[in-house]
Amino acid sequence: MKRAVLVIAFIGLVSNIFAQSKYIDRAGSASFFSASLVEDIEAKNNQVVSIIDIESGELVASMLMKSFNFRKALMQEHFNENYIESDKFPKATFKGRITNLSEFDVTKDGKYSWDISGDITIHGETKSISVKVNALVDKGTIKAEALFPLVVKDFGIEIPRLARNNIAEEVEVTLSFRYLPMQDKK
Amino acid sequence: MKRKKLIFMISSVLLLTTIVCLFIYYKPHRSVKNADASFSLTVTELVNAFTENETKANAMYLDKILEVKGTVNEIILSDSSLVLLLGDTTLHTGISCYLLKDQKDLYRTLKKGDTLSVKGICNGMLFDVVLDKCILPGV
Repeated sequence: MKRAVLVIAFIGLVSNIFAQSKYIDRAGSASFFSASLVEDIEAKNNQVVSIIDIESGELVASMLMKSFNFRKALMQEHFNENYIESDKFPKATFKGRITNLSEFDVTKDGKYSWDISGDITIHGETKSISVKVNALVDKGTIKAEALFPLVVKDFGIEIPRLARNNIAEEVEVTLSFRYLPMQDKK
Repeated sequence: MKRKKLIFMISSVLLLTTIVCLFIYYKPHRSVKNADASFSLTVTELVNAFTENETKANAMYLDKILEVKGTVNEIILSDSSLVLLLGDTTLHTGISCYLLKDQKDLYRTLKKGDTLSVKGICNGMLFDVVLDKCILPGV
């Protein structure tokens, strides 16, 4: 009987730890910047959803391509219809893992550096990437920021010759998240 | 005389094309405020449509202005926007409504458990169904 109580208490403890190991951000931001001779193109998406599990180091992020906002409506239309084809490929996703998790401690406020490697899928094409992420723990919330280049061609996106002066072959991608402990809803 | 006419014609055609081009180039973003909703439905109806068949739901609702009625489960204030999570108790997922920037002050008046209507553009389904550029017509 005593043992049963112990086991139940243990399970309760473990599931509690698991519940608290997951952190979520529903309004993360992703932006990209393309610099070219003719014009600079910038777009921002403030609706990126990302979850990290600080026990296992797993990290996923997902975003809708339609949620990218451009300064000019016409650019946005071209992005959705001609390049990223968001009707066919509505989402971009990332699935990866923090490889230097042993250095991270969520209970200690301060700056950390994560090495994350995983697979990124845009426009239906998947590519492996490794990025450095700056993380900041502040009273139980985790802020994370990353900056890395992506080559447009790697994701099967064709830039027509006419637009080649307007769109860079390599775009700068910036990601920014503020993770809060995930509450399990039952 | 004939030449003058020709020059006039060519220049007016040029001017017209420039104006048309500029209009297309600086085409304004869509506004939810002044537009009527294409569909009016409840959270449950919208979520069910997406969980049953995402492709079909995308074809029907993507890029359309929807007016959705539901209960506020969670209110998130981030640096960039105010997000309302609508749902009901029986659903696992719900709707994330990203309000327009100028609606951010509504944070003070809204409460968890409020039942309200949200009007916004449907961007698809992620974790929840996403409504963008939202306003609250009743508030």
